[in-house]
Amino acid sequence: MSLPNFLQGFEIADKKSLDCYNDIGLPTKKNENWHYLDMARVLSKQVYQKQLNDNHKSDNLFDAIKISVVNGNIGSVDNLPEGISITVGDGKFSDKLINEKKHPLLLLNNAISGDFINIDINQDIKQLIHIDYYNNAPNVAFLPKVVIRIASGKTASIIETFNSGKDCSVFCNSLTEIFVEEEAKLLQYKIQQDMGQSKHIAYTKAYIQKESFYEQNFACFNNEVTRNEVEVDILGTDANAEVRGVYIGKNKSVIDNTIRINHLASDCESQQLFKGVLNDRAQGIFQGKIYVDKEAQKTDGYQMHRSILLSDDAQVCGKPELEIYADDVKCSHGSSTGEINPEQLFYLTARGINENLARNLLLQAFLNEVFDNIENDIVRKYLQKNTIKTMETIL
Amino acid sequence: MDLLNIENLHARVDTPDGQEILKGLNLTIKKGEIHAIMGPNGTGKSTLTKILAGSDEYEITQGSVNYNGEDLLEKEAHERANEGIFLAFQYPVEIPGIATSTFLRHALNAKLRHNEKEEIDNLEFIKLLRQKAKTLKISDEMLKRPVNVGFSGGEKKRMETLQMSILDPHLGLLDETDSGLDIDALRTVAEGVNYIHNKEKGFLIITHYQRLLDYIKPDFVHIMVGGKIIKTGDYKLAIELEEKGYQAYGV
Repeated sequence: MSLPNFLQGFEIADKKSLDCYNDIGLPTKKNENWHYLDMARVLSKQVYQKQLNDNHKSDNLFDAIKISVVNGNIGSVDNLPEGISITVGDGKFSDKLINEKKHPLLLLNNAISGDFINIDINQDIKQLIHIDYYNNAPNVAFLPKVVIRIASGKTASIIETFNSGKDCSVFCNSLTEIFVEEEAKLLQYKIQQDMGQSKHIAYTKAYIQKESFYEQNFACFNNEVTRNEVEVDILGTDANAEVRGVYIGKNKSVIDNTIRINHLASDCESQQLFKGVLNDRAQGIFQGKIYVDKEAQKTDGYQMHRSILLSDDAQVCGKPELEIYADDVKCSHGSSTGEINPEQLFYLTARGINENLARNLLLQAFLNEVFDNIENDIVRKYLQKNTIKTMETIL
Repeated sequence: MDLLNIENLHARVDTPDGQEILKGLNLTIKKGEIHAIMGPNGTGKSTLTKILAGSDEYEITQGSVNYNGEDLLEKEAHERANEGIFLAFQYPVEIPGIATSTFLRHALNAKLRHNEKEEIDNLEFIKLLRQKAKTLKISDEMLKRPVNVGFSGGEKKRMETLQMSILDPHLGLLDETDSGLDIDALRTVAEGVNYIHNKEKGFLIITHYQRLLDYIKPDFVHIMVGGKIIKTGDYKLAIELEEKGYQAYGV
């Protein structure tokens, strides 16, 4: 068995996963979970390769414990505070994840060799942990493998940023597995700023235990193709999972957020909140599911997706779903698409604010509902600043 | 000198089967004058103020509007505001997600930039805002809230008056600013207007009640029926209308 046509220069690490991937193939519109995003078509035109590190250096924006990944090559991590271990090299995803999920891109990631980033958190970590992915080689492929464990009762925040040099063409297929132990709290931020030509597929699986808290805040500031897939298994009682996201798209960008929260224990809460702004021919996709097992009584699940379209050719496909087997639960979901409110726009312009700035302010306000949930001031301000900047380029 | 000069203005709602609302309206406001327009519901009073402020809901089919000697209809809404036109809205819209103070700072700086003046820095602006807010009995807490969100009817109207006092317009258009106000709020709003008014400035006040005109003395009172002004008089006309209604004018 060999690598798929669109990938070159990688070795095979797990033949079984590759066989399994080759049996299934890339998802097409026939696969319900990929109905709006035909990956076979997306990956039919170009070949991506393993590339070398070029010793690119970047600023430590968040004053963080920083791991640099340049063109898929992971740099060393120094000066770690006590209570956290970060190892780069060998690693393994859980058998459960690999065997149970017949997910082609997950299997592809596991099939191909590459270093793992293993993050073990055993103390409260005040500093942000930052994985900084940067690409500057042409046609680069990289397949990040990240495993995060946070011990009982501990708190930490992890931010992942994805940036590319100008005119870089990128294929990223990232797989992250997260274990949040009892009473632990893990805040995760993922920010994509690959401007232009990148195909970015990410799958995150989180297992969260009793009385723990897990959140992921995702932001996509314009990209060619993005698939952000998150699945959370809530395994213990009184736990809370929140998955939120903001996306801004222009030209022909396609941004797909596919979220599934599995309530497998009682008395837990979950929230899904996504907001997007699309211009030109951009397309937004939101597939959100709340699954409530028959054991998961007293579940409180909330799901909301709102988008604003700035052009007649932009479109949004929403598939909110509830699947509930318990009888004493509170679940809600909603999805709406609209345009900028003309009365609000007139109110601002009638006060002297030009139409472009007025639109920018209204769209920022629209997205701020998501950012308002972000505890970390530095991250929230960074996201708001990027929103303003991105909005200026799309309006 | 004429501040505003409207001649034979015709306008319709800008939709395929939009109705004509203004049907040949004439009005001249000189610097220093306060004009009041009274009239039955649905006669085009609010439409007139929105058209002057630059709303794109309407299409002008005939006539002209000059402001300070320039063609007003050629200008965008934000240019009109920056050149001194202020519309106090009948129903100020709520804008969640934008703090009142942020919004007002953007508005004031837009005006300063337009008039080639230096922008105001944040600290100085907050000082100015607090001082003006205090005279209008608006709390700091209200300034931190998003624009008009969760405000009562009276609070919204006081907030409109605050915005007017910060932006210091040359032509104030008050669209039923008195509706829904209790007597104290009415007095506060009227004091706000009287404070701004001087011999360089004009006001156009749309109202249903003579009550507001007890506090803001108009130089002229106009009766508007069927999309145009059909009678003009002084303050006594308002008293007469309060007593007799619009029956004498075929309504």
